[in-house]
Amino acid sequence: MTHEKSRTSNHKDNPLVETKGLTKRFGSRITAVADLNLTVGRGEVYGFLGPNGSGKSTTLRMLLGLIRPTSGQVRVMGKKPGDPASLRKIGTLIESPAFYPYLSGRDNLQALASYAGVPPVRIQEVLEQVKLTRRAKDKVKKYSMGMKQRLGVAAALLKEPELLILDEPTEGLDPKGMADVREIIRNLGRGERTVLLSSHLLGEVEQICDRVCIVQEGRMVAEARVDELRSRDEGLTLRAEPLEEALRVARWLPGVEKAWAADDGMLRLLADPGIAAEINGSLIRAGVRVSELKPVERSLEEVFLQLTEEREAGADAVVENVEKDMSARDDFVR
Amino acid sequence: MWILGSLWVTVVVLFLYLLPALLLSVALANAPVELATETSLQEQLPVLAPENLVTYLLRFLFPGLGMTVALIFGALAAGSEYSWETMKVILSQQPGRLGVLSGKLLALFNLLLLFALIGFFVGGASSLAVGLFSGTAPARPPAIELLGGIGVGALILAVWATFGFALATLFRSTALAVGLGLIYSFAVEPALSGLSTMNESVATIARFFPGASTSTLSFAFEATEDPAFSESFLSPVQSALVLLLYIVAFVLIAALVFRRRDVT
Repeated sequence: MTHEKSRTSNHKDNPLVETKGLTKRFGSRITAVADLNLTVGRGEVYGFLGPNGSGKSTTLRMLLGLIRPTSGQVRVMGKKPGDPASLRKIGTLIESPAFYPYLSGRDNLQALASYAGVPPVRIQEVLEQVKLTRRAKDKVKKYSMGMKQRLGVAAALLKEPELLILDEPTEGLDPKGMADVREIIRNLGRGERTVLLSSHLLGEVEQICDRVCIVQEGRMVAEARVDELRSRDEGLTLRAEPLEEALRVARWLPGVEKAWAADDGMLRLLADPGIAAEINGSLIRAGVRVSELKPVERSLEEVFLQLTEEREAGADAVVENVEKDMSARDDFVR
Repeated sequence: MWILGSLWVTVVVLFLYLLPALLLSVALANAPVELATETSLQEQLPVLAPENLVTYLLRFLFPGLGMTVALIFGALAAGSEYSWETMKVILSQQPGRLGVLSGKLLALFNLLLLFALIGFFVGGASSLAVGLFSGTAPARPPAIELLGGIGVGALILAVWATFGFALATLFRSTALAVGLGLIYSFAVEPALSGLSTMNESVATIARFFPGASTSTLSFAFEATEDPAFSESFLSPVQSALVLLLYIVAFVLIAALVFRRRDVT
């Protein structure tokens, strides 16, 4: 199911979460988050993606006031992070779910409800929502990982939050547990609730998120609507015969930056999809039979891997250049 | 909590009353006939009598086991949230950091007061049982002394609990806090106090240590005419004030660290 996209338009006018130049350093060597500018609009389902150690959890913790930023600004629901007035409307599941092991699932929720000033009647409601009613009286130390995760989602929903921050909610789950939690999140994203979801499951993010932000080494690599990201800079794919002739002609066409034969027997053109008709006409005039021509749409996973690998390659190139410079300097000194 | 509570009651009943009474009974049974018949158990071991409840418990229950139990309670109250990783969950709810800290300390102080009351209640019941067993008419300790004893006991527990609480907040660990607290109370301070016999200025400082003030207070309801005692230790009132200052200092340290530190 593709999520409703129309609500992404107001994310800058009516932001629920906004960071400007958000930076967090641990000591003098580690920069976990660098100059991050995020804007999550009201009612949006926002995906926060990045490899392990890219600063996602640190960012989410800064939004909740658990970690103090080194520099930059953060506003969550119009308030400073950690402000009780905004925390009242935020539900969270940060990394692995944490509960008192010697208490039952219900008693843990009771403790959280008393902290948050939530009426006890909500406990039964959220337990039903995550299908945990039958085991609610068991101690948490007897729960499986999937049950703990479901209890974590229940705890996040306890306050009927306007903003839900979920950090890797399917981490460590078996396929059945993943499917359960995925279904819960999918249902949550259908309402008016704003969801900020950090996940490794790109297929899932692709299905339920309106916009995504990709971070690497604490820096934002890309932020866009999912459909924009999937079709960005990718040009066209076409099936043509004879392929060699099509490739030769395509390389000379105006507007085509690059053309190559892909493994699947298709031709890929790095070009603006808007000139597809001109390309088609030129190929036909050159005697090439074109049976299929469409814009390339990659999966979010492909986009993610490309963006993160590009950045890694860029970093390697910088290191290589620095090494060359240092080597040249050493030669000069000698 | 239940384990420490059971230990607390067991020590009072078993080690402070039952075992001494049994040992003395056995000794009296094996003593010459005229001594065994002419003296009661409480005449032989008067500290077990109900009228000596306050001095007995303050000397033998609160300084040793009491401060250890309190140290563990304080460390558990602050450190467990780190080991279970529940701190992030609590702080993501509505109350602010100082609200969470105040709530924890309030609960801790209530628990310590409950332990002090249980100690005196169980001790009182045990001494009464010993009195009835030995056939002497038990006399109740003065109410003022009893209330003062409960207050002093709770104060001793509170200072060591806040010490454990501050250590666990500093190191984000229960085990390390308990370990360091025990090392301080049973090794570092006694060693420094030992040094004080050789150096006048160390002796002056040693009088203000929490362990020294705890010892002074544990004798608060006993009359002593030994001038060496009054020279080596502060007065009970001064000691109580010193311990109150330690409580304030430990709470402030915990609050400052907890308020500013990242929850990673």
